[in-house]
Amino acid sequence: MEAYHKKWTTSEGVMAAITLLLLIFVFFHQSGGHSSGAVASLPRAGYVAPSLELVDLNGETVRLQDLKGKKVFVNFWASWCPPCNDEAPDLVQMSERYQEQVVFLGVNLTSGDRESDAQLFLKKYGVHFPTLLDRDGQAAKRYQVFAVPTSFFIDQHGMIVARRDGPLSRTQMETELHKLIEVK
Amino acid sequence: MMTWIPEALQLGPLTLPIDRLALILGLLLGLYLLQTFLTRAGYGGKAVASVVFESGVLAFFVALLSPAVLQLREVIAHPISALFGGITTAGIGIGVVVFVIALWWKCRSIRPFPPLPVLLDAVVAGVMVGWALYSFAVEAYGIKIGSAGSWYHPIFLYRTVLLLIGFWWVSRSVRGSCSGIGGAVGLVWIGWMQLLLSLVEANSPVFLNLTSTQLGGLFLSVLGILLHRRYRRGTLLKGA
Repeated sequence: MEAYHKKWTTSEGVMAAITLLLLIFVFFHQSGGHSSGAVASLPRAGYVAPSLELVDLNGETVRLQDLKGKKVFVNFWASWCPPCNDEAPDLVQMSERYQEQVVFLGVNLTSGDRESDAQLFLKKYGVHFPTLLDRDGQAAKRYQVFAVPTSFFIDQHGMIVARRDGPLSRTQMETELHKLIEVK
Repeated sequence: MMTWIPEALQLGPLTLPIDRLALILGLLLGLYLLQTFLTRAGYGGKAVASVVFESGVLAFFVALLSPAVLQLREVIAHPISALFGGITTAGIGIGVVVFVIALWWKCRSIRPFPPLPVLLDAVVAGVMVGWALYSFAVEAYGIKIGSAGSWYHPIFLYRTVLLLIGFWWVSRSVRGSCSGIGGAVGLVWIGWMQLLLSLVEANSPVFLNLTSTQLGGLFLSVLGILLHRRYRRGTLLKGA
């Protein structure tokens, strides 16, 4: 009886053999080396960031595509949103601390905000990094922004490393920025 | 944009993100199946499901409000962003610990408590169906199909189909008697699924040239085969 128990049944042998074959197969067919072009574009972590082309407050066009090779932090906000006001001082502080490693971009949801209010907001908190104006709401739609603020951490290959819906505390923001900076 | 499932549901002023909604529905469906399997096996399925649910709710709120203890200065300065900005990594860790302690504490009162093989069958079946529902509602894509065009592997559909086939296999293996064999088979299947899907996912290797998905898949497959051997032996001994 005991000797019989030690034997592998056919089903266990088949399961072990399939596992081994799969392991050998995946080992040689390593999927880690795909370029960012082989990955779909979705506003979620692990995907290529959707295209973003907007004018800033000076009327100059800013394209996310042009920032390839740099790490980018994109923050969608509106002047009327209390959590955005809450988050703004930390955002300014982080943009000053990490300006050498990360490009900070603010996207004002101008389709649901007033440009004059946005200007007052930027002045109030001393925001110095570029602020883009989403006048037709297309960027927010493309990035599926359903909570304000929403933040995206994008690596040098244009891949979204993290997406955070809602406000970020200073600790959370700094943690995500560190993760972004460490991406190779 | 390649999505055809909406990212969020708009109910008046309320916006419900689909991924969170699907996560809650998946967990509830999984819990329902856990309850059904345990009840069919002759144990208090409802009591176990209630205990898991209550422990989960408690752990969620502890994790959400953990900054009130861990980052008191930030909470005082910016209460909205610190408390409702999302669950932190430390919060998740605390939540898991609270969940395990609460589960253990509350389970002591359940008599008779289902043995491990019965629990394994029920939990694996629940996880498979709950995960299938969650995967179906949250679109996830793998690498590009072929070299031309912009079609990507719909891994959320692959995963949903594979999980449902796996659930069917587990249900067949259980056949009314929860001996742990079904759960073990389910673990092997989930492991294979992860290994297969890793071929069309874009992940970086973390150890021995294998990605985290591949390592997890390998671990589950091996664990499933070992548990199959263990519980098959138990079944034979009972039979003897």
